[in-house]
Parts: sequence; structure tokens; C-alpha cells
Amino acid sequence: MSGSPGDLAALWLEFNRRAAAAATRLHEASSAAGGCSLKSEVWRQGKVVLYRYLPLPFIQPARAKPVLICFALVNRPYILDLQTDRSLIRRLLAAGLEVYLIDWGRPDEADRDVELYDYIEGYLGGCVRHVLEANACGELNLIGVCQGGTFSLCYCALNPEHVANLVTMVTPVDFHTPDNLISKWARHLDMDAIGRAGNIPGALLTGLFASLAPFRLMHQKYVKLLNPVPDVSEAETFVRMERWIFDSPDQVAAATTQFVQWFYQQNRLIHGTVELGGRRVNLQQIRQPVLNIYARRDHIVPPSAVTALRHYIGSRDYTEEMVDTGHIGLYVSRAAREHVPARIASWLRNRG
Amino acid sequence: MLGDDQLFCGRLAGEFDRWLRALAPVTPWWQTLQTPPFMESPSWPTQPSDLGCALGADVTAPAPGTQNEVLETGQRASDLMKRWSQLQAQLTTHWMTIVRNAGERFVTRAATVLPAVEVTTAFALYELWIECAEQAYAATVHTDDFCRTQAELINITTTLLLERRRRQAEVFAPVADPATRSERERPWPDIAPMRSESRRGSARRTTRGRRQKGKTR
Repeated sequence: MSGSPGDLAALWLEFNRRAAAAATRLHEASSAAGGCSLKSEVWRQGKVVLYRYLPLPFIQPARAKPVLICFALVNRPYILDLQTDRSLIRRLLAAGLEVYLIDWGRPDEADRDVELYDYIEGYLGGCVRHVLEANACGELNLIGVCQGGTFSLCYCALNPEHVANLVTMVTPVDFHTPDNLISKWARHLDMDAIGRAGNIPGALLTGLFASLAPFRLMHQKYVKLLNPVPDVSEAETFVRMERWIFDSPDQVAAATTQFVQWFYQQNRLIHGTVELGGRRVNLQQIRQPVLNIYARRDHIVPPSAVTALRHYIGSRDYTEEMVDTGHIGLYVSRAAREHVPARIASWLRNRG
Repeated sequence: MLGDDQLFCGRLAGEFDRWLRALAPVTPWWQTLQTPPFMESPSWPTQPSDLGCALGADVTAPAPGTQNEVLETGQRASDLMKRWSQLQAQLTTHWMTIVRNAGERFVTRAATVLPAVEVTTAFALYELWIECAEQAYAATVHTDDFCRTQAELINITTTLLLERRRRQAEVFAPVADPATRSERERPWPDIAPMRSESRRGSARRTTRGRRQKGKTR
């Protein structure tokens, strides 16, 4: 394995050549914008906006109820519509579904007292009511993603009459499984004090997620740009992804304190002790069909935290779908981008 | 050649080891906590001397309050600083364990990589190193000791941040003449029940709507 000085010099030159080429590509791709599907704002309350995606031309509408997507608070939802070939939303539109998306916005210090009740029964509930009224129907299909999936479970348990079918994606349910690193780190935090210090900066969350696998996420992915050097299209995708990863909004102090205490520290969801507006969230109340999708190599929400759902819901029509990818890969990876939307669309169509 | 390979792997592991040590003092994820812009103060304390400033020990304006309060604050500051330093030392120990563990894993596994100095080999070695480093990292950061140490460090840092803000507020309060705590909190006894009532009303409306819907069905 030892090499001559000539070999090492050639190696060094090759690295430099590739580094220069990669830098040029990234510079060329630096203006790549995210988002590819047309949408219009249909409802707004405070900083929360509900978007309706416009149907794709020449697509026959599917005979299915409207779909409302509830994303997590901790990242921006445009990852679901990043670019034409990596867009869960576009695929659902192509399947003829009517798609709505909640954008939680960017909270500031004026929102520091907003609680989980406000997010789940207030904003999510408001969006549901709008979609139902706009489509003159009594039920919709709810897709909850990550933390948004946890919110969707809570909403569905409290308001089961509004949800025809529930799809959860990489959604934590049992927060105390042994492989859940965020949970272990959060277990001993003094959240009352942290909440008193104000909203949680988005940069802290970005750092937290990167710290779960720091060498892969903060070093290896950049070195990988050299082998092979990306073409323009790959560089644009990389830039869009990077922009999204570093685009975590600040987290509201009150809601974050509650979320960490109730879910990560006390694991209340599976014990049926989450209480919103004086009502207990009982997962047994979820009796509608449930499709639970998870990523096999998820380092943020481990599969064990997701699949626990099967033990706690009251539904008899429960389907689990494992995808061989990571947490973010579930939205954008090659493995997932064809399979996941197609699976959701067919599952929903089969249930009306 | 086997001896050469082991020597080469050992040297590479040494380089990676240095790289990993260099990463150790890089700002940990939780240090991105910061004060809001309107109260912007020097960056998050990273040294014990900064912590003294955080509690007003080094500021030129004397802290308001009785002499006892100042003494108590000083004692608390001293205790927190001492504990903060101990925890930092514990985290450094954890980090050194990760470095050593990663190096050992790498040396054990590197000999199986292609025996030629080519670009692909170099990348393969790098990938292997990342894998070893991640495994070593995971082995440490999942331990209860690491989790407790990191959490306590965050809790103490938050306490210091809150204390710093309190001190700043006390220094600047006489100038700004803001509402007193009792003035500020006076409306709350009226507002809090209204808020609860509003929520109960909302929940009742939802339940009633559900019952009516059930009847019509």
C-alpha cells in the first residue's frame, strides 16, 4: 500500500483538479431555486399558510378525497417539492390527487407562547376545516411527515370524524426505543429553563441533526463531491439540498418545551397522557385505515420508534411500508421518489 | 509488504487521529443558542472567564441589590463555573475515547483495502475512516454518562444565559423604566381563565358538533 513520492504527487494533483472542478460546478449551481409545482395560498392564520397545489394539466382527477400534508415544524416543507424529479407532491398531483400543504412559517419572539394545542387543534384544525369546506366533503386524507406525523396522530385521535385515511411518514410514536439518540440526549434537559430563554434558534436544530452522525453529515458528503465530480444537474440538486438542510426555522419556546417534555422525556403518546385543550389523546381512537411508512436507515427517527404505532392504534386496516433509505432520503432519494408516492397514491385510491 | 501496510495504515490513522482531535474544540451543536438581538451580548461563554462576565462578576457597573445578594450571586457563579469546567473536562475525555476507538478500528480494518496508491484507494480509505469514526462516535454518545454530561452542560449554560439576561435587565431597567413585574402580571389573573374558557368552549363545540353529526347519521 506504500507508494513512491511520484505516486503521491500524482494523487495530490488529481485531488486538486477534482476540487477545482467541483467548486466550479457548485458556483454554477449556486442560484438553483427550490420548488417546482404551482401553488396558491388558500388560508392563513398568523404565520401559518395553507397552500393548494394546482392540478397538473391533462391529468384525470382521481376518485379520492383531498389530501392534506402536515410537515414537521423543525424544517421547511419545500423538501416535498424540491425539483421536478424529486417531488413527492408532484407525484401525488400526477396521480390525480388534490393536494394541500401546511407551511408553518417562521416563528419569531412574538410567537414564543404558542403551544402544541394551538398548532394541532388551532392551525392544523383550521386547515382541515378549510379543506373540508372548500371541497364540500366531510373527510379528507391526512399525510403527516416526521413531527407532523405525530401532530397528525394527535389530531386524528381527537377528531377522527374528519380523517378518512391517515398516512404517517417517518413518524415517531414510541420515543424511548433504545436506538433513539435524540431522545437520549433530550432526556435530562431542563426544558423549563431552556424555554424561558426564548425560542430555540433554527441553527441549533441544524447542528443537532448533524451531530447525530457528524462525520458523515459534516465531512463525508462534501468529500464525496470529488468522487465523481458532479455534473451541473447533480450540483444543483446538492445546492438545493444544502439550502434546505441549513434552513431550519426558529422553534417556538412553549411548543418546543411541551414537545420535548411530553414526547421525548415522558413518552406520553404511547401512554395516552398527552392532553390538548383538556382532552386526552388516545391512539385507540384512530380506527381509520393507516399507512405507516418508515426508512430502514433513519438516524433521526429510528424504525423502532415508528413501527411501535401498530401496538397502540385502534385501526384494523394498518399497513407498514419500509423503504431502504435514510430519513431525508425518504423524500428525495432515488429509491423512494418513485416508490413512495406511487404507494401512497394507490393505497389512497383503494380506500376512496 | 505486510509490515509496510501496517506502517502505512498506522501513519494514516495518525493523520486521521490529528484531524479528529482538531475537530474536538469545534463549537458543539448546542452552543448555537444565543440571546435575542435586542439583548445581544458577547458570544456564548466558552471559557470559565467568560462565565464570570456572564454573571456580572467582571462588569464595571456595580450590580444592584443588597450586599448579601451580590455575595450569593458570586458564590453561585463560582459553583456553576466550577461544575461547567468539570463537565467540559468529562466531555473532552469522551472525545478522546472516540478518537482512540476510531483509530483502533481503522488500523484493524485498513489492511483489507486495495494495495495501491490510486485515487479510488484513497477514497476507499477515507470512507473506511468515516465509518470507523462514526462507529466509535456512536459507541460513546449513546452512553448514559455522555448523555447526562452533555445535558447538564446545556442546563448550566442555559442557567448562565438566563442569569446574564437578568443582570443586564437589572442594570438597564432603571434607564428604560419598564413596567414592574407586578404591573406586568396584573392582567394575567383575568386573561388566564379567559384563555382556558376559550379552549374549553372550543373543545365543547367540537364535541357537540360530533354528537350532532352522529345523530344525523
